[in-house]
Amino acid sequence: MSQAASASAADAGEPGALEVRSLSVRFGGVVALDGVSLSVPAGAIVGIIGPNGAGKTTLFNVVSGLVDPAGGDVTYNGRRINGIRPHELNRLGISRTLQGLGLWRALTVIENVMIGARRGSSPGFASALLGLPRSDRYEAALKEQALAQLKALGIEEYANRHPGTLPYGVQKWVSLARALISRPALLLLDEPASGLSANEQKQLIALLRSLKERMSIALVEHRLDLVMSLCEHIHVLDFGRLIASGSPTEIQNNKKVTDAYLGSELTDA
Amino acid sequence: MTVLERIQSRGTLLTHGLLGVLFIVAVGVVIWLLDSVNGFIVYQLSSVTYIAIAAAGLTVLTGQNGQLSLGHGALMAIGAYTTALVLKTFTDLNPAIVMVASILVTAVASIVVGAAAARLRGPYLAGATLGLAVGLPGVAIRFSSVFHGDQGLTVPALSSPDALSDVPAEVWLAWVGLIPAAVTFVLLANLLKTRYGRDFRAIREDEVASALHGIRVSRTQVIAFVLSGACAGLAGSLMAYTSNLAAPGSFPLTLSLQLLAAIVIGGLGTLPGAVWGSLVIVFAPDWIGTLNDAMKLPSNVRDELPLALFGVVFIVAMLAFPYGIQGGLRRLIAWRAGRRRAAAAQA
Repeated sequence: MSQAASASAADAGEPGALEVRSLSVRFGGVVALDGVSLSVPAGAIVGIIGPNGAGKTTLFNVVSGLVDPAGGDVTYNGRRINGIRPHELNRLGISRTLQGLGLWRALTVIENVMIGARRGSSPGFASALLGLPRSDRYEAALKEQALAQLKALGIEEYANRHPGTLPYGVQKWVSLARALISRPALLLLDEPASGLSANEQKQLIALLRSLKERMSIALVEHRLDLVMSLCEHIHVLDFGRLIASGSPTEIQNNKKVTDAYLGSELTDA
Repeated sequence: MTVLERIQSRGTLLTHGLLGVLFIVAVGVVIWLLDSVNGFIVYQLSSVTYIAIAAAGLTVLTGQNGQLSLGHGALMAIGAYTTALVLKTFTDLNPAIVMVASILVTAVASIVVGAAAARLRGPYLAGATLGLAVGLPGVAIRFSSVFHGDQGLTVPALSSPDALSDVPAEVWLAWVGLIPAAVTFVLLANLLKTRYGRDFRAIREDEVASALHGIRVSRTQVIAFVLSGACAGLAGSLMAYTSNLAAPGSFPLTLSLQLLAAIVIGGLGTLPGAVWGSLVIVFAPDWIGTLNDAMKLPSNVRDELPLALFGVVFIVAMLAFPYGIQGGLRRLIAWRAGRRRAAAAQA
């Protein structure tokens, strides 16, 4: 029951550790990741940067079970999780946000967040079908939990709205609430700052710093200023390869990194 | 607190259960009164009960979960044949037990179909379920020693108990149909309020996001299919009791398409919509026929016109009410509430 064990460890609020060893991914003839090794130590905030098409999102897709690697290993808290199915992330205490947010537009904000909650001892199909008190209590508790999560992010006023009717910044906060309600031990954020105003970015940085106690965070990001100020450790990908790893200062002074960025994307740097 | 809120605070089962009982009593009285005016309408209403059960199941599958099925007529056939075969062996078995048996058999068949369906998307799913609708009646013809081929199997009529021997047969049939219909709607309404309902809708909207947030997508899709199939099985059983027959000719492809039309015109994904749509599906052909006869057209036009009119009614209805009848009603209620608030503000 190692899964149950790691889930209870996550509930106790202990951050998880992720390690990726010589990971390779091929799409047909294209090599998307080529022998990438990196780690997200427990309790760290780690940035993964690189120009467009460097393989950052592909790396997240492998870790979350959406893409099968051609070679290499993914371990989480010392346990190999290659070939994990995406729905198992929730039980392992891994949450991931999506670049396109992926909110369910036909559901209200609070329903979106309720789905993200940890699935464990929910009452069965029969109680739900019969509308038994047990099912009612579970639903009420879940709703309360979701509302508390919305409050924690200061967006409870939007609980009964539909995501499509809200400003992009609020939608982004909803997707964070949906990822955080499961109290993950590892949080994977795909471009968390894109589309946010300068003020919202500041709020995001403060939020992520406050989460550090409870979870490890890995973020894929385009905005170097945000990554430099937030992350203790940065991995740089270029054309599917890891070209540099180190502290923000080390990365800033790394010639390979500046070449990769100056060569392709001056505007983003 | 209003009365409604006070009841709601006592739990889902009590709220929906009370609504179900009220529905049975109210519609039961209406049926009783209608029978002295027009017995045929009452007979048609008993058709509405089983069409509505099947449509409710389909609206959960297609409207809520996003799986398109063109084969629910075939699943109804499984329920109807199960009823006929069970009654052939156990002639006097209680209808409730026969219906449960039909639900179970159809649900088991739906596991197989649903597992295949969970691997298919869009037009491929439509094609596969279409194949089921076209192919399954052929089984009855191929194995005619069991299923009696085109003639089908007869089902004994439901007789009212001796104490209620004054109740006309069609009224009794409609009353009996109301009970499984109400139970179906209560149970589905319960379920859609919970995690299962949310998961169904989340999968329809975005499968990747659903999986990443802990929903077992394929498993949930199979659950939706089996649930929907169970409804179709119950509907088929009731249909067999109503028509006293289970025969391939009762389950043509058009039955599956009519169910789909019912949920779309009623308001896709809404349970009340399944009722409105079923009423339209059962009664519209008749009204169109009456209208057609009144126009006294030459026979070559008259014979073809009803189907065309049926199509026109559908197109116009969808243009006027893109969210179906239920969507139209909701807009009307919202509009009236808005006007009342405006009037109150002025005063």
